[in-house]
Amino acid sequence: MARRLWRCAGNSFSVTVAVVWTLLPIYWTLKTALFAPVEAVAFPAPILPLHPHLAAFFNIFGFGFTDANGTYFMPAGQAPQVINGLVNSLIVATAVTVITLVIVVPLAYAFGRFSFRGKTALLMAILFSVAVPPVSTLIPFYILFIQLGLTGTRFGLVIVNLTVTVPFVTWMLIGYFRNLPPVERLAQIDGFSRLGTLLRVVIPMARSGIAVAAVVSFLFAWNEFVFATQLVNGTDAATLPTAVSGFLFLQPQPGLLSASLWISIVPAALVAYYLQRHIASLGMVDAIH
Amino acid sequence: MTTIRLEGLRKVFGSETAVENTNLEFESGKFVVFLGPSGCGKTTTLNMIAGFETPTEGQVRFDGRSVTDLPPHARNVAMVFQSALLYPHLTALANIQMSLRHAGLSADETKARISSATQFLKVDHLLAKKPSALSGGERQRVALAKAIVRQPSVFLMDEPFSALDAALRNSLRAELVHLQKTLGVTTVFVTHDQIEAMTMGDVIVVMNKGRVEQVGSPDQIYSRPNTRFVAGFIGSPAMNFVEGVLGEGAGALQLQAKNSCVALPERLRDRAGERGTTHWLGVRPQHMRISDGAAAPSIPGEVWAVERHGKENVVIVQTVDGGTMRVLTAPDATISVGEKVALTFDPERAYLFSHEYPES
Repeated sequence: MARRLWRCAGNSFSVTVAVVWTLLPIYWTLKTALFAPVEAVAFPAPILPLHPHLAAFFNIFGFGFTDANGTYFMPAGQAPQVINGLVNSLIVATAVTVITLVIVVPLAYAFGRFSFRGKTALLMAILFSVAVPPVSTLIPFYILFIQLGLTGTRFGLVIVNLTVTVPFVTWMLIGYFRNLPPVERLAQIDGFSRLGTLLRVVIPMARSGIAVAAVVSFLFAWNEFVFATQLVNGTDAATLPTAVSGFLFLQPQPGLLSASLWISIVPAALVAYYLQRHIASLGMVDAIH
Repeated sequence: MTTIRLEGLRKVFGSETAVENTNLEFESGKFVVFLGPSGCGKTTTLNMIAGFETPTEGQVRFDGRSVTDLPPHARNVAMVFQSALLYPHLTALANIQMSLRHAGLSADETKARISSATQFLKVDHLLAKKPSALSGGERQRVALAKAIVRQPSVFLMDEPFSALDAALRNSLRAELVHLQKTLGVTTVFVTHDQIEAMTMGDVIVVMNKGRVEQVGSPDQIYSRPNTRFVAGFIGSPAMNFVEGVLGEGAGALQLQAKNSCVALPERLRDRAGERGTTHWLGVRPQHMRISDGAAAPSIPGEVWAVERHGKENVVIVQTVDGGTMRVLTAPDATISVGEKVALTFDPERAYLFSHEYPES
């Protein structure tokens, strides 16, 4: 009895630590967004905002805000960049996700299910491109993009994101496809062509794996900061993370920064949440049974 | 009602010959079992009949018509795969419907076909379930329903029972034979399980190392094995062998083993090959006896283990030649491990093999 109690207490403790560890920074950001400017610079920082208000969330989208005491908060000067960044991020992340899936699904399927000449060498090439730290290609890409006129374009940013997501997601999905039951012969008996087998049998069967791949590529492109800073910052193609970083410089605005961070978390969290439920409901079941 | 003919069928993968020149013909409506250890070429042969593999040489004919160049679905074959493979993401009904994609039937006909097939196999209450929600036996029945709904000219089965437990396998065996006899569809069944082959097959094709060792009814295969391989593969417990050099002494054939010499019965003379070459004497466990050593022929040895099977005991004896032999005895026989015994056998029921494998 006592042992069970201890184990229960231990479990609760470790879960609490994990939850606090992950949620505290997010709470801190939210709290800062709700602070009045005075509270934001107070030391030690209060645990709870004393006069919480939503001014920052209005300001970053270019709206003024008057709180209960009649204090007026001006719209942020960077509001157009934030809105533009949100749109750009959505476009870039969606494009990266779609293109990644279109390329990777047939690619990973071929690697997972067929043997062909040069397969090992090609697999090693993919592994190698996963292993290269993205930062090491930053300068070469920058020089190349200047020459090609791709700096400051969403198209260029999509290409750079794809160089990371395509090999990574391929590597991730190969094992998944390999473990699917051998339905190709079944499909052949039922009169499916090779392409028909992929489109009408394998892809529906692999929904859960493909959903994971979609989440991974969307979140990568949505969160990508380093390349975006180099290639599109300060242009019309700037994505949300780079636009948000603007609140750190010149005149620091912790409230506005925190509010826009929250805005950037929400769509990503929704995508992950929606697809995660999708995955759980499908169940990553034993492929044979 | 379809006859299957394999003409000079051969399959080579790279430098390995999976199936050697094979010529076989199966009458319409027969239950044909391809039997052999893994890697013997039985599945490759089945795949060539199904159309998954193109033969390197030779022809596959259904009713005399060559189907060698036709894709699987155009051959009108139905196949049950290992572990009764189904599409895991589709319900039982959707799985069965897949078989009729190219049948060109009206919606009513499709419905009628599916309901007669599912009623026949008693799976009509399972149609809404996905394969993961079905038990092993249910999955087998759904896979069979998927196969028969097409009304194929040939059934092909690739070890469909391999993943099932023994009790279920027994009951499905009888069900499948009943189904096949009722529908009268020519069936090719691949297995490595000799009991499956013996109990189900009208014709058994024993394969080994890409070659057909023997073709015949279960009775022929069991009582008149052509080769040592067939003799050793069929029957449980397996046939006992004494390996030795064939010689002649005192007007009788004899087999000189490592530490003993067995006089061979006269009736084995026409099975004997060249004198001085290696031969195998084969005796099934039920035709061996533990004797006092006075009877001839006799092989001395020592009891190594005793297995109790209820209706009989299997006594495993280590002979002086270093091999082990199994002898069936009555369950009440008292014999203990370590006892010195002599084995004798019924000369009328002994076999002699001059080659381990057939001459090529």
